[in-house]
Amino acid sequence: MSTEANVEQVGLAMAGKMASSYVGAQERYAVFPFYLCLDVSQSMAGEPIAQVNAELPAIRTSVGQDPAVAEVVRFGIVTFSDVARTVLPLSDLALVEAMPTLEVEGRTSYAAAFDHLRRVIEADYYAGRDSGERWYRPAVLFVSDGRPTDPEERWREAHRRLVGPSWRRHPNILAFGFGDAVPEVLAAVAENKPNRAFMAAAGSNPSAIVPELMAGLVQSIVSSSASAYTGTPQLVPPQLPNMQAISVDELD
Amino acid sequence: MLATGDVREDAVVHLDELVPGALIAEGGEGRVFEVEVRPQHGRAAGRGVELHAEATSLVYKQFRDPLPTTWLMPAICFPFGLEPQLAARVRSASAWPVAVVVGEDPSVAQGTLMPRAPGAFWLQHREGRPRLATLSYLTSDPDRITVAYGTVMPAPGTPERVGIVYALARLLDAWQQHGAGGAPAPASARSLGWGAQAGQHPGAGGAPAMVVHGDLSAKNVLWSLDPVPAVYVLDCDGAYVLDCDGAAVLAPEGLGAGRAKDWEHEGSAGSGPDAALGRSRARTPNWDDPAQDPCAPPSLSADRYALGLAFLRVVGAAHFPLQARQRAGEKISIDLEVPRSWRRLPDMPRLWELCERSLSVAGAADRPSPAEWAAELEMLLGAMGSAGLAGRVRALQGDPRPSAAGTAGHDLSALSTSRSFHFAASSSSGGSQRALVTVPDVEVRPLVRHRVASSWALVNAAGQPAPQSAGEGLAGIGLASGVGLGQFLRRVGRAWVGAHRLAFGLLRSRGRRGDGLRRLARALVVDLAGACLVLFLVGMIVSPWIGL
Repeated sequence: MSTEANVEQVGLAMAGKMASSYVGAQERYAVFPFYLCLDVSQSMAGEPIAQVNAELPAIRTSVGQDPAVAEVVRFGIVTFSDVARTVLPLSDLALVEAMPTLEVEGRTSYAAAFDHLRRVIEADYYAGRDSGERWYRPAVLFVSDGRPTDPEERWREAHRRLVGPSWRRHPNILAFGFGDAVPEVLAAVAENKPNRAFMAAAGSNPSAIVPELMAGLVQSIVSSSASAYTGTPQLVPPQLPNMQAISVDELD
Repeated sequence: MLATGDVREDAVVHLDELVPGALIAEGGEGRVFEVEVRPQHGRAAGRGVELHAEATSLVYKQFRDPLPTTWLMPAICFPFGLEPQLAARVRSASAWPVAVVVGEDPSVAQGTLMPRAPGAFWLQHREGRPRLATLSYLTSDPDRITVAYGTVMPAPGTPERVGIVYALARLLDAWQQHGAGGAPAPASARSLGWGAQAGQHPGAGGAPAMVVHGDLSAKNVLWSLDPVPAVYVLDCDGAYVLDCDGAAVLAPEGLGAGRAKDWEHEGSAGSGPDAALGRSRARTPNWDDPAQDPCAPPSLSADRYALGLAFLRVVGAAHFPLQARQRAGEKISIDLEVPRSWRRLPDMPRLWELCERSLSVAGAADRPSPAEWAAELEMLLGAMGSAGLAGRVRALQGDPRPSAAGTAGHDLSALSTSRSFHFAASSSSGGSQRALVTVPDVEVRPLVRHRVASSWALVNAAGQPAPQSAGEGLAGIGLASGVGLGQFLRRVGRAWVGAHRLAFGLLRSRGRRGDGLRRLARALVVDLAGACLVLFLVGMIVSPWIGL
């Protein structure tokens, strides 16, 4: 995979630079940024959004209250419907007092989500760099329960801007869908890479989908954070059949 | 120390004697339950279990894949082979397994019984359930932990942190001492008949043994400061027992998937240490020894590396991610921030020498023993005025003897003094003259926050000469106190050189490049202004001569 070749190149380059580097006492681990990009369109009204709100504190507890996980993970929440907004800026979950309560809004604009993510990731990257943080490649956990309501060309163009390799901070995207979400669209959002798009199984209990999904996200975050302590961090997808870990590279 | 095949009756508990409780944890190795032991059929609770009558409770670790009972016996019996004070030290500072749990087949172990971590090793956050006080709380910024969880951590470099590492060093010393006068094996031991292999291992006569934990990490080492610094090491049932030659008596299986199948195919009577060797235990990636072959069982030096790393991370309260760089073969230079109060301590070059030797990859065979660490940390605590603290740590471990100083240590007179805290001395000591033959691949330098140009910065002791009066910024130098011009110019010169060195040093330091760039920009602005001033003055002086 080209990602693996990049990892090697980056690793060798850094080894060369670091041969005589001055290791400061404040040397810290690089952090793994996760963005939860959540659909809050009308179709999420009622039980789905209530379940999301009920499960968000569990993310904060599992990730933030464990010092070994919290110190290498940064978590932010972006919601999208007609427009996209940041409801939780990328933060150290140990320092977050309470998770936001999400509310349902309008339609489902994937383009708004991708454009917003593009801006937010870039700004957060520079803010992190200024405060001395090093980043692993960010991960976007994209969750939608419907098809995009904006024109296909528009959201595909925005998606290209987000994931195109020419932008150095392009994230890895894991896409999750249930309800009226379209599997082909989700696969396209996940760049058609294997084991990155997931759809709720037909016939599964609707009330169980969201809690299981959120628990799976927590598990993915915690497992990925464990790998962040190694020299070869990995974005670990939730435990589902036929799953494999995706190697990520470190940004300079 | 028993022969490998011996099984102690009083270290075996049957599954039907356990009353299971709540599930505490679940991991790759198995599941951990609260449990109560109810002896049945008039059977005694077991000497090992009775030893923990005063422990708060026992936990039952159920293996994911059952193991042969004989594989676990050497580890369980290890404390019985120690003299009583050392055994007390081991049991007070680690969750040493007390019994094997068997089911229908007594030769197959379903799990182990271990004492639960005492209440002092649990932390209560501002909210939520109590959590184990792992070293993760101590190996990062204490202010962040306080803000995040509402628990106050001791500041970096305080005697409490040194005391925690001291307690850990003493525990490792008990594990790695040998020839310590072990007690003879109990008469209840019976052999399962290893045949020719029995002769290869320590017999039933109480031959000495050592233990390698193999997975010392922030998650497995608990700490407490109530009432005195103490440690409690978990996951000891996977420890490797070595004889006094360092050979594995019996390396219990790394409790991963698939390995149990090997001995099933070979047959339980035929399996032995040869089959057992070569298995690997899952190790925590940022605490494992880069010099260790990942496929081989860990050696004593792996635990010694972890001890050096624990000193660095706990006393320094920072992450120090070294392993990736060490595996890449780089020479590591570590600047460890120590409190300003350490400047009043006497020179302790041996402490930094121990740190460097512990973390060295090239010199992995030469890593200092835990006894050397314990002795040195005792001296450090004494120098800090906390000798009483060291005594209380020893008393809590049930073994108040001070550590033997400098067992197989180096000749101190041959060591360099360049690791001094006193900067006035450090600037004159020059480079290091080492007594070691190997080229050191790790260098540890203590750093103190020092004032440079009226702001605080981390200063490398070897690179930054101390100004004559600490605490004065550039604006406060000299003139008002009537210092001579030459001395003033020297001070200015030193401050100029120091500011540039600091800026370039920070530029090279990962994660502090922004800070370095800002400092460099300021320094260049000052340079430019100075150059303009000099040109102006030169022009003023020269202009009459050239008719301007």
